[in-house]
Amino acid sequence: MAGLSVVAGLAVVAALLAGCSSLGPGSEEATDATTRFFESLAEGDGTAACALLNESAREAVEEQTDARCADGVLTLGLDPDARPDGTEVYSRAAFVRTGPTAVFLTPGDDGWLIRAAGCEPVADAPFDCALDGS
Amino acid sequence: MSAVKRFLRDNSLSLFFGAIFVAALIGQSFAGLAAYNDTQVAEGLREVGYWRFVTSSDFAVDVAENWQSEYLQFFLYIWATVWLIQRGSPESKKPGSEGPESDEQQKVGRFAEADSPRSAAADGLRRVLFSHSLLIAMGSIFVLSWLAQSVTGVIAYNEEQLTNLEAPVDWLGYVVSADFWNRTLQNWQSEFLAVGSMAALSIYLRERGSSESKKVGDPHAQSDTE
Repeated sequence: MAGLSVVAGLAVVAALLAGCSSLGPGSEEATDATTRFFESLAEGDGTAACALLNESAREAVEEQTDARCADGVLTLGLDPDARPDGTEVYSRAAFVRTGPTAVFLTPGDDGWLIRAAGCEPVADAPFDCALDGS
Repeated sequence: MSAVKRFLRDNSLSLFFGAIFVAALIGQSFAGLAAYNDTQVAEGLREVGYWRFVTSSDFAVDVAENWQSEYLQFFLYIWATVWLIQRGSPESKKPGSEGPESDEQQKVGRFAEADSPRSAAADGLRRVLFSHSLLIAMGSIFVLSWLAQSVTGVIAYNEEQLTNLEAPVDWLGYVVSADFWNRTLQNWQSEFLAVGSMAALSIYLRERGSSESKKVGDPHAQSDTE
C-alpha cells in the first residue's frame, strides 16, 4: 500500500507539472509578435504585418477588404500605436492586452501567429474584433 | 516454483490492475489526442504531436479529474465503514460494532501480537498515524489530484476561452466556475452510485470465490464475512 501511495503521489506531481507545461511558445514570444505586428502597421508595411497572421486571419482580411492581405490589413482601422501591456499564455493559445483592446494568438511554425486583433470586450459574449480570423 | 513465478502469483491482483491501468491510460492518450486535433482542425488551428499532447494540461485535467474522484470514493468508503453499517453486506461490519473498536480488537499497544507491525505496538503519534495511514494516504492523494485538476483545468479552460475569443479567468474564478464543478460532480456521482450499489447488491448477490462477496451459501442477513 505504501508503494502504491508513493507511485500515485508521484503521478499526481507529474500531472501538476504537466499542467505547468505549455504546448506552444512562451509569453515573451507572444508579446514580441504583437509588438512587431503593430510596428509593421505603423510603418505601413502590410507584408510584414500579414506574415504575423495565421492562415485564417489572412483569409479574413482578404474577404473583409476584398484586397490582398498586405493592402487590406492597413485599412482595418487597427490602432498602429497599440502596444502590449499584459500577456497570458494557456497551452496553445495566447492573449495579449493592448490597452482597451486585445490580441489572440495561436502557434505557427516559428512562433506565435495572430488569429484576431483590435478586439474589444463584449459583456457575456466573445470579443468583437476588427480583424477576426476565428 | 521459481522466485519469479512466486512473485507473479503472490502479486497477481496488483499486477493485473497495474497493467490494465497503463493500457487504459495509453488508450486514453491516443483517443484524447485524436479528439483534441479534431477540434483544432475544426477551428482552423494546427494539430499537435503525441508527446506535446500527453504533457499538456488538456490531457492532465482529464486524468486528474478521474483520479480525484476514485480516491475520494475509497477515502469515504474507508471512513464510512468505520462508523456506518449495512446489515447483510460483506463490505460492512456487524451491526453494533460501529466505531474504531477496542485496542484488544485492533491488536494495538499491549495487545499487539508477535507478528503485528511495530507501529501497532508503539505509543503516541506513531501509533495514531499508523492507525489511520490508509485513510491519510487516500485522502492526501485525493486532495493532490483535485488540486492538480484545478491547476490543469484552468489552463485547459482558458485555452478554450481564447479559442472562442473570450477572456481568460484566474484560478479562483475557475474553481467556482460551472466547468470545474461539472467536471467534479459528474465523476463524484458515478463513484458514489457504484460504491452504494456494491454495498447493497452484495447483500443478495454472490460471486463464487471473490473476496468481495459472501460465500454463495452465506445467509443474506450475514455481514462481515471475515
